[in-house]
Amino acid sequence: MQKYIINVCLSTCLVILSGDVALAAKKKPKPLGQPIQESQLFSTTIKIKNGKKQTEKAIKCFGTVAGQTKNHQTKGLLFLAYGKIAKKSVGAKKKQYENLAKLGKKSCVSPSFASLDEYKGTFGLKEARTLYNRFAFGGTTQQINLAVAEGLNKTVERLTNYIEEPGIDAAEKDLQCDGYFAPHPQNRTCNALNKNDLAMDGVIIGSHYRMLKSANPFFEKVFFWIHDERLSTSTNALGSWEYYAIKEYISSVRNLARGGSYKQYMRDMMYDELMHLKYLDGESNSGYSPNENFAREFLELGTTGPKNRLGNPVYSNQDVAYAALVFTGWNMDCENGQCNASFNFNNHYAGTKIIFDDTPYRAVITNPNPNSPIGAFGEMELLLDAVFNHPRTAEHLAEDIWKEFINSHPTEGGIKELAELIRDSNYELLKVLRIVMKSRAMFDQGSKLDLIKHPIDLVIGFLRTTGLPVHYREISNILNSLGQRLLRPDTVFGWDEKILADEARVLDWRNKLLPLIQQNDDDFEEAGYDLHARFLDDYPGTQVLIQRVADQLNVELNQVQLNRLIEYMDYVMELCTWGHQTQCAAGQSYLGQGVYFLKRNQYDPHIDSGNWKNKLKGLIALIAMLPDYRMK
Amino acid sequence: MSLGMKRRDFLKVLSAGTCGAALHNVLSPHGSVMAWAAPPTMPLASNTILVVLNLLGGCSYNIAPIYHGAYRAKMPTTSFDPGTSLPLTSEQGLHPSLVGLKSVYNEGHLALMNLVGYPNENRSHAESGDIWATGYRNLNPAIAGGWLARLSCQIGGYMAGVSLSGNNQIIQTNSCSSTKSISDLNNFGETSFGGESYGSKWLRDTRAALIATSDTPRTENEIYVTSSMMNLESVLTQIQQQTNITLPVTFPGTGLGNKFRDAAKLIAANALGVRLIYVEKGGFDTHSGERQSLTNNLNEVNGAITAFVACMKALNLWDRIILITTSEFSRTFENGSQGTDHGHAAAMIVLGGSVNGGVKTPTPTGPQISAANQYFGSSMIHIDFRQVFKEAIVEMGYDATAVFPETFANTQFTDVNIFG
Repeated sequence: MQKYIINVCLSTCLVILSGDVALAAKKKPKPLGQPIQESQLFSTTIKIKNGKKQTEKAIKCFGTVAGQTKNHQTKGLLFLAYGKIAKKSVGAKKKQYENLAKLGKKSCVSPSFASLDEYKGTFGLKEARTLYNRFAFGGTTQQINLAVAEGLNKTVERLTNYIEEPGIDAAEKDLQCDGYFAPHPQNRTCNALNKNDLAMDGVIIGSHYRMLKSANPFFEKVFFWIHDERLSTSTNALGSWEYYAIKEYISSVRNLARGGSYKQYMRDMMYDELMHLKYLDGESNSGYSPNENFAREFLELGTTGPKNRLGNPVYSNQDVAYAALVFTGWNMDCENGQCNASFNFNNHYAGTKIIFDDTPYRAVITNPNPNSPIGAFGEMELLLDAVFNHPRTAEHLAEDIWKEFINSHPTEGGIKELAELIRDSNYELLKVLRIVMKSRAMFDQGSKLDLIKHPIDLVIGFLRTTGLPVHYREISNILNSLGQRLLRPDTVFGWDEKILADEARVLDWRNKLLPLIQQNDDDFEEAGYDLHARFLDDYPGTQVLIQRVADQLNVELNQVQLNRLIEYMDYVMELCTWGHQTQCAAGQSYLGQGVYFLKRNQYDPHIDSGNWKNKLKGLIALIAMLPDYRMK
Repeated sequence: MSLGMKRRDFLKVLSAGTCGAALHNVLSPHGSVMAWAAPPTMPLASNTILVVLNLLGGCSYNIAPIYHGAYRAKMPTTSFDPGTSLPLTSEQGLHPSLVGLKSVYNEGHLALMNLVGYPNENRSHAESGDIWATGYRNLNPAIAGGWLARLSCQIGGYMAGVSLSGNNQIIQTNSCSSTKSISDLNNFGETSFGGESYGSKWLRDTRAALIATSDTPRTENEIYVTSSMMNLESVLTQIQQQTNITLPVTFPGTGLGNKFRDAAKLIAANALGVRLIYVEKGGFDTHSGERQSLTNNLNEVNGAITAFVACMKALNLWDRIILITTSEFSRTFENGSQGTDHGHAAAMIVLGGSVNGGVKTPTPTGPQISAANQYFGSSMIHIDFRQVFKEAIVEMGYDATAVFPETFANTQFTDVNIFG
């Protein structure tokens, strides 16, 4: 593990010196880019025992990620100061400071601060934006200001209280039928007597529409996370006579997101026609010819996960085989173009199964009613209890929650703490997430901008934050181009947001963003969107406008970038040959290349100025294309 | 049968490398910019480049006019005789505009397939277009994705498949990032930003500067994202430089001429790994006044293809090229407006240095033409259009069944030996 940390450090470290020369380092550090500010450094706390009294002291580690304690040192760090002070001390004091230095170093390698303790620091604009970016796809200026005014607790309470939305429900239902709203000629009323009268595209379009428009973005975000991370499934598995199954799956995921128990969710998945029977081949799983697909993913993705924190296997192939036998006997019964799940106990293996054999979590699954479906259902309950009694189930869930909502480097202590919380909350996801949202770990310096946005975060977030109008069908097209269409992942593992942020997808995002920004005046007017009123009502100067847009998109610009954007706003680019030879000759050429030159054309916020529109659109696009905008 | 991906299939995908993963694997944040651009080591056949030219609107059968009396009777003002066209055989020729293509035929490298279609015709532009683009007769295009995209995913790499005519269905896929839509090599696949003289360049330059001066990333994820963006800027610059080529042939300054010029540049920049190019030319929906309209359009086609062929020969790339024409359908016999309406079975042309030329499936006979009601329907087709593409894909060295998984009804011809 240490070697890995060092290798990671060597290959990715961009730490450089700041201020005066480092202490004690024999090798001169290699400066790379701008100096790291102390506020950027990874922080943790150490617990200091002084007799019976224990206090906590915050220290800054001289790395930017957990484990990065070698390399360069910055003057003034508490951590380092202990070591430095120790050298200058004698006797008991020396020993004390040496111990502190050692403790600090250990804590920096694997910090064990009370991560889920309630955050009591400043809840300002930056913190509010982080909360909204991670749990609500982002927030408008008004929402962020309200959050700051209300404070963290009230904001979390508001975000996590579900508000009924009959209008959105109706709109989604309308779209599920055919993918169109009236008065489009393809809009129709679905046949209420035919549960399969749905359009799969329409279901996806409806889900995206809901994400964009819902007043409950927290629940939409959690819905997406569950669908992505916890046994993903695809509508591709359904024939038109089975379409009803998608609504049942969506309902199960929403129930979990809106306050359900994760154990109940896994129970729902055991009975889910789309996930279990169709996508993961449950209908092909019989006692005579077992199919392990669902059983394997049930364990690997849905519950314990394949390995524990030490990298040791949690379950064996035999466990998978036995779990598969528990699930035997299901199939889809179809008649007259209508299908339903059914259970045939003749296809079920009713013999005894043993799960987690040779472990403290061993469970024997027997069937007292082998000739009845009740017996098989009983077996499924016993299996469910067995996996939820295994400590890894809560830990695995904790890891996924941490890596989606807190940061990419969960600590041992943090996972242990979160897993305990999950168990104590009876796996009620909403309870757990409320605590996570208010935790110190969430707002720790080391968590800041550490997570990569999914394309859904990017697109829905951009649209929700800016309010730019978009056709309801276009969202699916945009997300399809970015590699992520809800309810249609390529695999049961869902999506990898890192892969979806690679070079190819960066270009795809740009090519989707620019047309969105460049919608013409008629489109804006039709949608009731007033670009000028949103940004320029008070006729801000260039710098104020730039900061306003950056704040709204939660991007922190440094001075160099700010200056460059001022230049962007205040100039256009023209060819030297277009009647400006004098200026070219005078050397006013951009970058000194003599081909283009900058002509002063300062952006004017007045509505009749004619140039503000393009400049503003360009500014929004530029900031939304920066690396920080891709992070949350 | 379940369509869900099983573990075994997923692992197969992983080992082959989904395009995004493969791209990431060969281009680490600090790896070589050029490493990903070269396609993985492939057998020589896979250096073949497929160019698909879609004649949008439904191209009349008079692209390859039939000389039978029955046909001429049904097409009094729109058809041609041997004296006013370019005969290939005693029964059929090429439209008089296609002089350059006739030369290729004379060299033995142009193949003509008659009565190409699919079962149960659909005569809607959009729906039939989707069928040709997806390779599925009955699957929702949004689910199916484009067949050229499927082939691009097989080939892999950042730019395996390029559309020079917009984000057509044929390149749509959710499975990988190997297809690109390019409107203009100057913007290189990037949507332009208008409103100012050099708005796009100003925006791009500013963006590049902003990314380059971003604060030092602190976390592994931030490093990854920043590196992706920096690498892309660098790569786009490299690509622009690589395609900043002076070609040995001057292309006509028509819309299609420009596209084929760009196609030639992409092909010549071998390190980019472009293996599939899709181009469109509109204007073939000749409901009236077909003779002149078709002539004008095919003049443009001829000019562009002739220059392209000459360029490929000059660059010693002709043997690696396969160019195939498609259209969403052919057309009916003549209507009352000296034009034609939507039909079905079409004439399809394949040309390239490795093509074994000739008229590969028989010209419709007089009795067939007489028996046909308004147009050559799906009951008359000689060969399924997917079979033609499949032969090209096999010639390229790829799995044609993966590109066209849907099995189709038997037709008179299943293998016409386009490539010897």
